[in-house]
Amino acid sequence: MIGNDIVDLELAKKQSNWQRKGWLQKIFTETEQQLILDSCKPELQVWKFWSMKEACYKAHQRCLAHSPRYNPLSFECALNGLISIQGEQYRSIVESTGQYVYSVAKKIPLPYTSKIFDTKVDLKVKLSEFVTMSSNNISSVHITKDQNNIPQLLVNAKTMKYPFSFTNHGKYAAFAITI
Amino acid sequence: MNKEELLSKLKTIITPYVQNQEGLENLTEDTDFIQDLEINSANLVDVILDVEDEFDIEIDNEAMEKMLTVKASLVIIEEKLNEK
Repeated sequence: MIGNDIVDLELAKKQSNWQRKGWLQKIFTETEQQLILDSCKPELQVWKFWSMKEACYKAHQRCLAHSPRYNPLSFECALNGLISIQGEQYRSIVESTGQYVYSVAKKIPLPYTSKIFDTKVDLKVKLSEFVTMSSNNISSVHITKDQNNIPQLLVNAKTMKYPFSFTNHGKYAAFAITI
Repeated sequence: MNKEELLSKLKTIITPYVQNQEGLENLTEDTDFIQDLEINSANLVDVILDVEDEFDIEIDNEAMEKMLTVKASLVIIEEKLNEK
């Protein structure tokens, strides 16, 4: 399973005050808080860990098919990209530019494709185009949501097991798919 | 505090973080903060901190996990107020 998350750093600065009293403590473990405060760029580290947690939440929720919950504290991130949740480990790849932070988290190191867009796009359309191009015998691609709001891929009217994930924030949007 | 007063206070708290105004106009107990109001997930922490300040209660991690809808939030706020 795979999960991704993007943070538009300019928008994050406007939307969130990470130095608000109690804010870090609600989201980050004591170890993570220390790593953030010891970092030479604490604000950037906040959003790196945050996007790792969000990406991992999506991958983990897809594995267990559980209902939505808000438990960022349950995901413990390390600087090397490893994330632990309930005794399980995920690996994440974190990409950071001056404009955004982007994380992809997975349990098993399968190859995947990920595309980031910096214009307003419909991710469903973009992913459908990508899946259609990936094989010759695809006549239709649809994307729906299941009861837990996890998106599902329907290829030629059949539910496909390709794990994928969408994210968007501010100017940026991205999909990641194991295919 | 009755349920209507609670709901009205909660609505005031979430309003600054709502990105889908239509969802706010049609607010019901079933409204989902992320799906219906498009509140950014990082701002849910601010909602929780604002709820703590407004009602002078502490939202623990277990309660925080559930605070994704209006209904769940009202239940949690009532529980925490009763514990005081």
